Amino acid sequence: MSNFQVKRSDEDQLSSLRVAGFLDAHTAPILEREIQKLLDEGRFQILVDFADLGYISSAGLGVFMGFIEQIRTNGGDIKMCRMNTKIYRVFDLLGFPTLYDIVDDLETAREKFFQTSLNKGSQDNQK
Amino acid sequence: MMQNRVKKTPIFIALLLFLVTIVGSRFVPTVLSISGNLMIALAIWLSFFLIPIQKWLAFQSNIQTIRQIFFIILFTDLASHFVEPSSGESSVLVWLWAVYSTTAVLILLSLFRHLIYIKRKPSTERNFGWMIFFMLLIAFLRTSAGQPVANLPLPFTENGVMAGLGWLILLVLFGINGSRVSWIHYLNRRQKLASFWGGLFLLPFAWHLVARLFDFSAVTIAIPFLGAFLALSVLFFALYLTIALLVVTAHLPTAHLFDRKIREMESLYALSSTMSSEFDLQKLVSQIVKLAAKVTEAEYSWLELVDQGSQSLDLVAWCNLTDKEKRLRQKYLPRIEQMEDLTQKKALVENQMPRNSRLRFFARWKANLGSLLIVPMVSGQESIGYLYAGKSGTFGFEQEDVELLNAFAAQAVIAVENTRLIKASLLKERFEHELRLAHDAQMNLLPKCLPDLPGLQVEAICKTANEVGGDYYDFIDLEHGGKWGVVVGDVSGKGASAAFYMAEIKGVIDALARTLCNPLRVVREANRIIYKSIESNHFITLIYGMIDLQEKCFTFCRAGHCPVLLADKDQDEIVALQPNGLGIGLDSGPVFDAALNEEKIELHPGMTLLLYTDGATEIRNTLGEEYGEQRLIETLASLKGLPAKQVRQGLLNAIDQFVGDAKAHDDLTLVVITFDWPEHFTPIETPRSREVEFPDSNSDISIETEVDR
Repeated sequence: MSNFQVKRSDEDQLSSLRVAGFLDAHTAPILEREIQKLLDEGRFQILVDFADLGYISSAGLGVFMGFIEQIRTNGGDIKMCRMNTKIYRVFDLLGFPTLYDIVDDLETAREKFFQTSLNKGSQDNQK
Repeated sequence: MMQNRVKKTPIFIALLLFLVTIVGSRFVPTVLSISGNLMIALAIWLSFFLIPIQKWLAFQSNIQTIRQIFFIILFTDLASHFVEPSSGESSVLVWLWAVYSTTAVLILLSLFRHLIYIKRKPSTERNFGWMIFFMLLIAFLRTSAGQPVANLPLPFTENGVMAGLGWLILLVLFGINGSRVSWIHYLNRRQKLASFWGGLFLLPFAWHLVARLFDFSAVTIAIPFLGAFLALSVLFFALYLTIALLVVTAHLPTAHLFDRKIREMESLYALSSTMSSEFDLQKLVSQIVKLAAKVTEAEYSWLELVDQGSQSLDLVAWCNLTDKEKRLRQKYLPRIEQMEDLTQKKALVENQMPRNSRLRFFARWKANLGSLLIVPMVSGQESIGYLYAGKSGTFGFEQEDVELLNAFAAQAVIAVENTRLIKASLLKERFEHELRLAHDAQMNLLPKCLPDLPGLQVEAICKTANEVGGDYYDFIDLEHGGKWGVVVGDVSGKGASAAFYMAEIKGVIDALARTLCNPLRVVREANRIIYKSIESNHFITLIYGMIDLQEKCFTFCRAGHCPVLLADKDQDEIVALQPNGLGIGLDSGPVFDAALNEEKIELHPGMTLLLYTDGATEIRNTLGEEYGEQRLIETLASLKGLPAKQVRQGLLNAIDQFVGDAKAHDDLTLVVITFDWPEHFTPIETPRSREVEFPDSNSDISIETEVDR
């Protein structure tokens, strides 16, 4: 049950975390450490890829909530993609889609990040 | 009994003898001599059984007895040489000498008997008795012929079969009693040495005394029988001392080893008795160090244990280390556990400290070490510490010391581990007790009464996976039975933190529901309150709804919780009611408020509402499969139209059957409400509720709390 892995890959500003296995109260600290490491490095654009995740518990959901405020005040975001229907259902029941960008595939997610940084850039230009 | 018999019979015989002597001596002169001898023999015999010298001797050590024997024999021999009256002197002096020598011999016999009786067997007493008897018999036979005897014949110097046989028997008895020298085993090395030199010194005197008594004695001339008995006794003493000296001599080479074994056993015994009585680790290790120094005869000893937290090696107990050495231990001896022998869990012994290169760093820390022995304390595969013994002289430790300290360390490991385990188990017990209290407190937060109204049936169950959990349900009487608030909630995470938030949300909802009737407002307000106090990675999902019995409707909000399942007797489909809503604690207010919707459904007879937490759908069987929403819906469909109690039981049975032997990892809550009022029904005005029976949680920690009626 506790086989949970996070694979990290960085491109430019964006860091992708590919999670696999079971994300529950026992394995949540692994993901927490990984995200904390990103924040310590000053990387706030985080894309979480759920393609290989089999299960997520409320403690797993809590991981994202714990960091989102800090990430957003630093101008970054957590976006999520490629959830299977069961995982999506958990996020959906809790109302996560209102709070987070949850998209189907990696490309859309990357575009969304790109748009955000463009918007930000244009806002900066206007200033 | 024995004492009584020997007391009474000889007294009777003595009286008889006295009469025979008085009467007989008038006719036959030799009767006086014979009966007189018999009376002396009787007196000697009686003195052995009547004077409780054995009782006084019982309290003195063997070495004291030996010392007394030494001085009495030495003194008697010197006295016999220098002050013994010759036969020509006044009879008063001869009598005084006779009294002295008889007393001395009797005391010596008692002292020797004390030594002979050590480790006694039933035969010991018998053999000693026979020896005294034969000594008396031979003395009697030798001296009752009537003629005065100036000197006694030495053994086997007489002619005659009877005399030879008598001597043979006596010498055999001397041998049997003389070989009972087991007290020598209990002497330590120093005492053995002292006994050896003392015996060597005393033996010429003892034999000199024998020679004098056999050759010439004033007592023999005055009272031949008594003199003969004294001479035989002294012969026995000399023989006994000779045998004892030989045995002591034989024991001398092994005395050191014997001492060591005894010390070893004493120390191990002391350690195991400390182990069984001492649960304070600090006191235990001090005792271990003291005993280790004693067992190896080391001047210095100290113990270092691996700290369970930091994994560093800490000096925990010491014997004869200076304050400076204690302070500087860390600085100078940092890497002792990497020494070659110690990494292989073997003892490290160095008998030439100053010359040895690999332990040179010890000299900087403690210059006066000549020999050093380090023994690892091995528990399983790990070294939990090191026991050190040091001597200032070189070549201080032999192979036996190494083995001894190794055995000692093995015992000490068990003691240390035991103490640690006891400490841990006490701590665990305390935690368990606290958890139990928490469990009881939490169970008290669940409603004790369920609404009991005609036309409305309510059943609920909350199973916690651990002692305390994050699930809860509640029923709140809003308008004296006319309106009921229903809550089912689930706090994210498990255990103690979830339990605290559960208590908080229960209080908040309970208070808000009574002031704000509208579920939408209740949940929005609850979110505002909870958001401020909840940790950022925790949240609460809940359903809060209101059953209005006047309007016959159910109005509810879903704050990120599982949908409400609605079954209708007349409909095939089970409806999952899932109005929009965020979990509580996810947002400070605006987003939450905007997302939250209220849903209202009309109630009519035959309807069943199921409120549940995700524990019911995420529970897994042994294959790791989830029970899932679909199965729950299917089970509920098969139970629609049934009374609430049967629905609840049916759902539980189905879940239990699916799960099998797998252990639940999450709390599970089910609330079943069924409606079955007649067409023209008006709810009663008076509130009614029924008691909920809780399982007795004092009898054992009950993970399961069913609300059943």
